[in-house]
Amino acid sequence: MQMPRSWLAAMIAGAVALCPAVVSAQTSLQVPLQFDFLNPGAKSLALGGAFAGVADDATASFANPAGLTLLGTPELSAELRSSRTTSLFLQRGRLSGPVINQGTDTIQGPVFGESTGVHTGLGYFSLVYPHASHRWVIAGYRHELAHIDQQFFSDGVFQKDPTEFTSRRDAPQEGIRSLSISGYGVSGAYQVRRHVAVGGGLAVYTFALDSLFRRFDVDGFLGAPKRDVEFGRSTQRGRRAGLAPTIGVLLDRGAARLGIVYRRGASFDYTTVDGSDPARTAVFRVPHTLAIGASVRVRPSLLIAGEMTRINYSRLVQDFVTDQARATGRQASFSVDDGTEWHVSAQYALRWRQHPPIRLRAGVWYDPDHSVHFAPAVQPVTATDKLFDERLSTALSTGRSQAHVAGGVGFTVSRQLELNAAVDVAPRNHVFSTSLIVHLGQGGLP
Amino acid sequence: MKLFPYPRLVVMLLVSTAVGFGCSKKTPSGPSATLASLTLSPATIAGGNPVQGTVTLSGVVSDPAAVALVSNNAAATVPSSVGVSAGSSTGTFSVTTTTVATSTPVTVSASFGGTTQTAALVLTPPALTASFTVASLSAAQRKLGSDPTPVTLLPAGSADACPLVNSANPSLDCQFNGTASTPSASITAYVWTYSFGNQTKTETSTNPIFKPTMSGCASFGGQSGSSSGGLQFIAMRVDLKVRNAAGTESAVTTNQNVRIFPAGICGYGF
Repeated sequence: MQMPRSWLAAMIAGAVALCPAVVSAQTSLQVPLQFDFLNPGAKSLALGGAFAGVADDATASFANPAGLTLLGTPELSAELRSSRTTSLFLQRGRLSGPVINQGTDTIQGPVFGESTGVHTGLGYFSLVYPHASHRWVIAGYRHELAHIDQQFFSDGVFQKDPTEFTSRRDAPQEGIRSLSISGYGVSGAYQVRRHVAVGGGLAVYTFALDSLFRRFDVDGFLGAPKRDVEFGRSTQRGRRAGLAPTIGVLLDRGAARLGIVYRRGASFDYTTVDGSDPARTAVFRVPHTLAIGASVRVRPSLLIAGEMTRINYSRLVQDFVTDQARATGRQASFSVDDGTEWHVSAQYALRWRQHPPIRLRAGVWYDPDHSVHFAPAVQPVTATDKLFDERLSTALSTGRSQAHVAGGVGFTVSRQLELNAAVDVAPRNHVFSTSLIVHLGQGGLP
Repeated sequence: MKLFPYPRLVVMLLVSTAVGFGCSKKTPSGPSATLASLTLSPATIAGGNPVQGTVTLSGVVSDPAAVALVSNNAAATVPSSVGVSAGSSTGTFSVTTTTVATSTPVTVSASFGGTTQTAALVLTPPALTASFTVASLSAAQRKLGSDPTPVTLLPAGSADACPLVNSANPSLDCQFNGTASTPSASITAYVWTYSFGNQTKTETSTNPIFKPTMSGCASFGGQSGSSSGGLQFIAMRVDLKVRNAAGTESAVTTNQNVRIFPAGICGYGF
């Protein structure tokens, strides 16, 4: 029986730049928290995320449902993923005015600390069932879209406006954040023509946000933070579920495929309690993504793939960022740019005699800066506003575009079992993934 | 019979021995030595600091000797005598001085063997310096969110903190406690300069305890009505110099470690 070879696929890559939550005023925004929404699966990771035009395994149920028609047998897929993300935050130092050289005021210029979050868990699980006709396929999956655990402590930076006689100091702040978004979805694909398949999916995303920001006293003006004297606290908490659809198309002309995927981001309510102010509700909006990818099999053993992914990170600004900036009255000064990712990759099937091939994969991708930026929307008048602008401009100056380098390997252990491993490395992100694919039906691998 | 064949030699030995004894120098001892000098080092010093004195005899003594000492002013006291060890010609002693309010001349005398020497010492007042502490007068509490128990953010008496009190008319509620290197009775003025935000003020008091009088949220440089400043501390700089009756002023002593504590007013969140 000839295995289906021409299918479309797609995937969505995402990334989100979050900026923290603030306590009784502005400052959680001073501690940028950035994380990425990556496609599931070690294969996709090894291909640098260029998966929209490939989409030929069970992760297509999330990445591009149309690609499910490429699967000839029922599949069960599971992924174990470990990630390490580093964010910079403004920790100490003096931003303006002369250093007094007493207490903690001894460093001219900003000092940034690193907040590192490490997480390991079941990143993805899916079950795919192709109909015997090979015209339609259904799948169910669970995907951990994002998981962040971070904490930081800032001693409070010193500043001085030229019009004032004395310095000011940001109150020391501690931040603890935990964010988790997981999707439970069903997907389906239908081959409408010989070379055309369409797919769609609907996922219920669970959202859990727990943030705590606390302010502390200091010993005198220049001394160390007094962590036993709390001045104020702010929390952000949310336990919600939200629906979000995905649609995809895959065009397959044999050696070449083209995939297009659009995924809407879910939205979730969360509650902010800021000091003794009344609790208020805001919305966390996961960015929408549009991916267009293609792959070409230039030789039977060599596959080249590319993808462009447009992500509207700016959805995060509304509410999630502006709510944190609410107390400052300067919401218009904060922004997150939409971004376009570029992915390129190759897969080479290394064959030896009659043994199943070993697939070597490598990819690179460009991850645009999607951190929160601060640009004063109005000319500051008071010293307070001037110093606020100075502090936020400095704190939110660390966002950078990144180049990711990825690689991995895929083993066909048996006709029923496939094992993939991958690593993705960028200056501030490291991801390691292993995934297992079990072919449950007759016919073995596609 | 000749008893000794060289009688001339015997005579020469006797004579030379006698002459030799007669030419030898005998070491002075007791009243035969004299007091050559008395020195004090340094000759001018701030009262309260020790001075070293040295007596020198006209020659080394074979037996211990004592040189009598006298001071003509109680601001500088000397031991009744200083010893000179056998085989030495000098002896040292310490002059104890006390703090003086004005420049004070002192004469120290030493007597030995009928000879008296004197040395002049000038005691000056200590350098005039100022120091002070800052402490809050009132406590500040805040009730955090749903926490039913108020939290004391600033206990009364906290050092280097100056709270603002009375939200209707915010004013500083702390005090400065000045001290000087000379007795407070000699200080005629404590000159305080304190500033924070965009305001500065200089006030003079005769009392070492001083309560600053700055008030109003305007001191926060436009923060009034804005909660955006509520996460910042503002430093208060305090300078003190003191002046004594002679018109002498101390150098300025500065404390930049004082923080203003709005405690929920002037737009502050805490």
